[in-house]
Amino acid sequence: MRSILQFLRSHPTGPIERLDRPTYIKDAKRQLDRQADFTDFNVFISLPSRDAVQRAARTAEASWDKDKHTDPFGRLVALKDNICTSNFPTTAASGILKNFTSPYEATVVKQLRGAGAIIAGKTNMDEFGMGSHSTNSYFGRVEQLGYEGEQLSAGGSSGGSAMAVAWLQCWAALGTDTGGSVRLPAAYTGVMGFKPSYGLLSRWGVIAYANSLDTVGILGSRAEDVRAIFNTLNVHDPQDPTSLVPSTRARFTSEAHARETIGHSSINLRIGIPMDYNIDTLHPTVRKAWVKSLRLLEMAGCTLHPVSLPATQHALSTYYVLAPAEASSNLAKYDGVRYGSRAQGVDGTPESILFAKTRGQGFGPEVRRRILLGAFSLSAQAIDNYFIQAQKVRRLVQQDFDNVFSRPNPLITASEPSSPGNGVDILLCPTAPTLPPTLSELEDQDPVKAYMNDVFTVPASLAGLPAISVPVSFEVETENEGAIWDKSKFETVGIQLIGQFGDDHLVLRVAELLHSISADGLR
Amino acid sequence: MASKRALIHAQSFFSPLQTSNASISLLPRNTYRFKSQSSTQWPEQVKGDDLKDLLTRSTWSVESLLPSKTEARDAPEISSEHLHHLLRLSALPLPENQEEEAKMLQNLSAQLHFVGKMQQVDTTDIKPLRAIRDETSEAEKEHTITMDMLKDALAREKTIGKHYKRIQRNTDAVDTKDVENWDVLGSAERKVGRFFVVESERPQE
Repeated sequence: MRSILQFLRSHPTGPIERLDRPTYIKDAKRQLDRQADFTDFNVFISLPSRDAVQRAARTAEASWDKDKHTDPFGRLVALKDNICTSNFPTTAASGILKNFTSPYEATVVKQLRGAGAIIAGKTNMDEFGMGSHSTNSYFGRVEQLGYEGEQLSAGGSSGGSAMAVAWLQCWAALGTDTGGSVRLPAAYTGVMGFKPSYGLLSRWGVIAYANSLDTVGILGSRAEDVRAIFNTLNVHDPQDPTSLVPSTRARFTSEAHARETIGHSSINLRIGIPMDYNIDTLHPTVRKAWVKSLRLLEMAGCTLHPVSLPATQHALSTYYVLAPAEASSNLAKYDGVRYGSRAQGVDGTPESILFAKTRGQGFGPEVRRRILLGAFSLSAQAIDNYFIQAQKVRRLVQQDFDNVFSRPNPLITASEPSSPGNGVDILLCPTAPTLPPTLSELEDQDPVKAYMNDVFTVPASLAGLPAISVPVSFEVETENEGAIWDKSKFETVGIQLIGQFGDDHLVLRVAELLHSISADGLR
Repeated sequence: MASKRALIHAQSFFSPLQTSNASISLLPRNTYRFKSQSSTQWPEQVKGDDLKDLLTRSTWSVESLLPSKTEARDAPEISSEHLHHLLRLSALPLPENQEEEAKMLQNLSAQLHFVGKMQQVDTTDIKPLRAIRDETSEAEKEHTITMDMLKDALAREKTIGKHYKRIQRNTDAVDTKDVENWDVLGSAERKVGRFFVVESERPQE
C-alpha cells in the first residue's frame, strides 16, 4: 500500500492545472467590481486604475500560451503595503511614510511581475506590522462584516491582504508574517495563510519590523494557489543577506529525495498534537474544530500522537522581548530627513531631542510603545536579562520542535542520528485561541492583552518553521451546549499546520488534504 | 530605501564571516528545562474517541502571563527619570503632563511583567539563537574564506618598491553605477539645492 506520506512528499509541486482557455478578463472584472462594492472595509491603501488592470488582463489573455503560462500568470495579486513598489506609494500604514514612494521594487514584486501576475493594489495593515487586528493603521482600521452585520476584526497585521482574498477582490495576496501576521488574519477571514520557512523568500524591499523573524507570506483561497506563488518566489536572492544560499537549499532538497528513496511504505503520516497549545481560554468552537480536523485526518489514514513542547509557555514573552528590541533598532532610521514625512516647524529644542517631534507625530501609539520597550530591553542594564535571555529561550523553542519532529533540523548539525520512527511529520493545532472578536470589544482592550492572540503562531516564527492556517469548516451547531458561544456566526476556524524547517511542500500538501476533506465532510 | 538600509544593517550582523567563526554545539536531544506540565506523560498515540477526552482538559493558562489584581507586579520599578532616559534613547517626545507619564509608566510596567516570565527559564549553557541561518558544519566550511578564494584578487595586486614592498593603489575606474547613481535627495521632503533641511533650536556642539 502506498502511504499518504509517500504520496505527499513525492508530489512536491502538485498537479499543474491546465486550463483550456483562461478567463483572466472576466475574473479581473469581477474582482474589480468587488473592490468597488466593498470600499467600507478599508482593505486597500492604494489601487491602480481600473483601466490599467483591465488592460493588463486583456494583454495576458491574448498572449496566453497553454504550454508556457501557469499561475500566477494573468492573476490579480494584492500586496501588503510594507512591500516596496515603484508605481504605488509604500506606507507601511504609518504616518511617517504617508507620502513615501519607493525608488525601487522589492524582489518578490519583480518575481511576481516576471511570472506575469498583475498587481491588484496595496493593502491596509497594522502600522509596520505591529498589531493583531489591523486596527493600528494611519489610514483607518480594516473592518470585516459578520453574519449579523456586526463589525469583526479581520486579524492582523496582514488584515487587508486577507480580506482582499476572502472577499474575492483579488486572486491571491502577499502579506508579511513576523509572529503570526499572515496566519492570524487568514484564520479570522477564512482563507489560507502560509508563512514559509525563514529565509526562503526574499525580504529585499520589504520594510523591516523584526528582521530575525520577518518573512513574506502568501494568502490565497486554495493551497494550490498558495503553492503556485510560493514556487515563483522560492529562489535565493543575493541582495538579501538572510536569504538561504543555493548550497543550503540543495542540502534539504536532497534530503527530501533521500527520504523518498528510503521509503515510508509502512509508515503513514504521523501527526503531532502539541498538548501545550491546549490553553484554558481556548474557545469551545476552536477546540471542536481542532478535534474534528484530527479525526478527519485519522480517517484519511494518518496516526495521531500527543507531543509536548514545553517552551511554548515562554515563547510569547520571548517574542515580545525580541520583536520590539529589533523594531526599536530597525525603526531608529525614521527621521523624515532623507525620506518620509516631517513634523511642521522646528524639531529639536533644548528640552526635546532632535526628531522626537517628527517621530512622536509620525508613529502611532502601539509603535511608540514597542520602540520604548525595545529601548529598555536593549539598554545596558537590561540587555543580559532580557534580550540575550530571550535569544537563549528562543534556542530552547527551536530544540523543542527538533525533539518532536522525525526529520532533523537541516540547519543544525545533529549530535546523533535521528530516529524517523519516533517523531512526528507535522504538527496540527489551532491558529488562534478564539474566533474573530468584534471591533467594539477591542476598543478598550489593554494593549498587553492583545499580545495573547499570538500565543499559537509565535513559536513557529521563533524557530523559523513553515506554518499554514487552513480554514476548516464546521457543521453549524443546532444543539445547545450550555450556550457558551454563538452557534451560527462563523463557518470556519483556522487550523494551523507546522512542519520541520524546509518541509514547506509537505505543509502545503497536508493543508490541501485537510482543506478538501473538511469541505467534503460538510456535504 | 527603508528596507535597503535595514538589510545592510542586518548584513553587518549576520555576515558569512561570522558564520565561519561561530562554534557549533548542540545540546543532546530531550534536554528539557521546564518544570510544570512538561513532566506529564502523554500516550504515544491516540485513536478515535480518546481524542476528545485528551483535549478536554487544558494544560495551562495563558492569562498567567498577565499580572493578577491581587498579586504585585513582577517587574522592575521604572522611575520617571529612567522613563525620560528611555524616551530620549528612542528619540520620542517626553510626556506632556503627569497623567501621560503615569500612563506610560503603567504600560511599560505591564509589558515588563508580561515579558518577565521568560526570565525564570534556566538557560545555563544555552547558545543564544540570534538568527535563523545554516549552522551546519558544511555551511561553516562553505562560508569560510580561504586563500584559494582570494587568489584572483591577490593576483591583481601590484607591489612596488624594492626594500620596502607595498601594494600600489589601483587607480582604475571602478564601475559603481548600480550603487551610486541614485538620487540621494529624490525622496526628501525638505531640501534646498543639494542640502537636506533640518530646523533645530538645539545648540550646536
